[in-house]
Amino acid sequence: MKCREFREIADTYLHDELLVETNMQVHTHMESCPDCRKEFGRRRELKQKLRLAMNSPKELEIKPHFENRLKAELREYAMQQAGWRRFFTVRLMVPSMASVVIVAAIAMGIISNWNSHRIDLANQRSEFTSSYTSLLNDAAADHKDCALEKQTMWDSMSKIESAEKTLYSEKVVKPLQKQLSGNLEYLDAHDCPYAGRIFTHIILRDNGHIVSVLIQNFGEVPAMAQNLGDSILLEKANGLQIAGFQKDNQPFFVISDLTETDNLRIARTISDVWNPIA
Amino acid sequence: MLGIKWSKSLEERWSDFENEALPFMPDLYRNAMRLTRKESDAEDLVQETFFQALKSFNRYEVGTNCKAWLMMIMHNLNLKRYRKIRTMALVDDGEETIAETIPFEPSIPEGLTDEGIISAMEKIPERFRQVVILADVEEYSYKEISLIVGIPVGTVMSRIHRGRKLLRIELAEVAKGFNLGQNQRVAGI
Repeated sequence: MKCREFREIADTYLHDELLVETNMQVHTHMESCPDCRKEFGRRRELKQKLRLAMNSPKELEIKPHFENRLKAELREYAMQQAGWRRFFTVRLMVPSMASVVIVAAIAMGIISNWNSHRIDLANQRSEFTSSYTSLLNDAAADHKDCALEKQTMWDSMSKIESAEKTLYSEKVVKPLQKQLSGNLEYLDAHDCPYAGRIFTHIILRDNGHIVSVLIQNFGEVPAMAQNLGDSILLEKANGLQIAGFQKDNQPFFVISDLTETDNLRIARTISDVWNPIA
Repeated sequence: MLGIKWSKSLEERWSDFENEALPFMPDLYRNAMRLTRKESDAEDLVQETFFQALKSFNRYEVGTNCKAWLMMIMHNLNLKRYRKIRTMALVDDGEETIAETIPFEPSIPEGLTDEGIISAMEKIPERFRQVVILADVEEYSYKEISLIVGIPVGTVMSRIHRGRKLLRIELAEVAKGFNLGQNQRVAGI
């Protein structure tokens, strides 16, 4: 081994990441080369000093008043959320279940006419765009910020199970996979706070394309949403296809860079299979 | 929200969050200061990170590596804040150019002070500094760094390698300024 080679791998040796055979070569070289032995000693010293130096400055220490204030705010936020969720789960769940039965009955009638219903894009697109601009923008931005930018993370987390992921697997993904041909992979489902709204964000991958299904759970719903009926409205923004529809007063969005037809097919299938009672 | 079931009450989730996440606030702040270099920005980043973590806590599996999970959130938020810088950082050519402009590797000077080391670290480009800190100061594994920063493990390894090399070069420069290690020879690589 030459000095140049030694210096190239000295850090790797120092962090104990070399193969056993290479370790032996490094040992042998250091025994015969005082300069490299000295250099190695300094690198070891630097490793220790770096850790101490980077942790020691006083300005890196968190200020107690900031720490205490943030903890209190977090707790307050968590408890407010608890109150909000209790309100919905306890007070609204019973009447909402009754209303869902009614809605389901109406939906049955709608679904029976589904095939004869044509999506009237031309008439509704402008109305939808004007009423839904902020909602569309938020949904598209959440898709980009969460699903696209963190794709590597979702890939690595795709095998991790969680209660929410299992819930949406049964409610949305499995029926979708059953209805649609192709390789529809399920990456994740989670609550996604964005710009004052909370979306349930289901991240899928269809033949390599990342697809977001966003269901708005919290935040203002435009009045227009009440009148959408069973239409699926399409928009295109920044190269992304957005299909929006409404079920049980909840806005749904399917966003991807698939073709309009493929994106719409996913939205239509979700609209068909969605059942709010888990 | 209709039909969505919550596997735990919010009070239980808060208790989990309090026990699992909040103890890492000082560590997160230290890292935020290193990322932003400004107290107000670091506080904003830590605040945003913990609120985001609280909202997404159902995604965290209690008992796993909470600190790494928080760091991942923080680094993602930081990247959002500096998206332009990030876009530049993702261009591989830039890394290659920097790697190619490292003509030699000086020996580490003697008598280094904490100030000298911090000063040298601050001169290293952000994307290299970030992974060197995560590996050599925070002692995360390559895999954890890959998840935190959102880059492949291979890129983590090459950035750490180049980052350490850049650190030694900067240390030599700092040492010159302090007249340290004058007798150290410069070794070709």
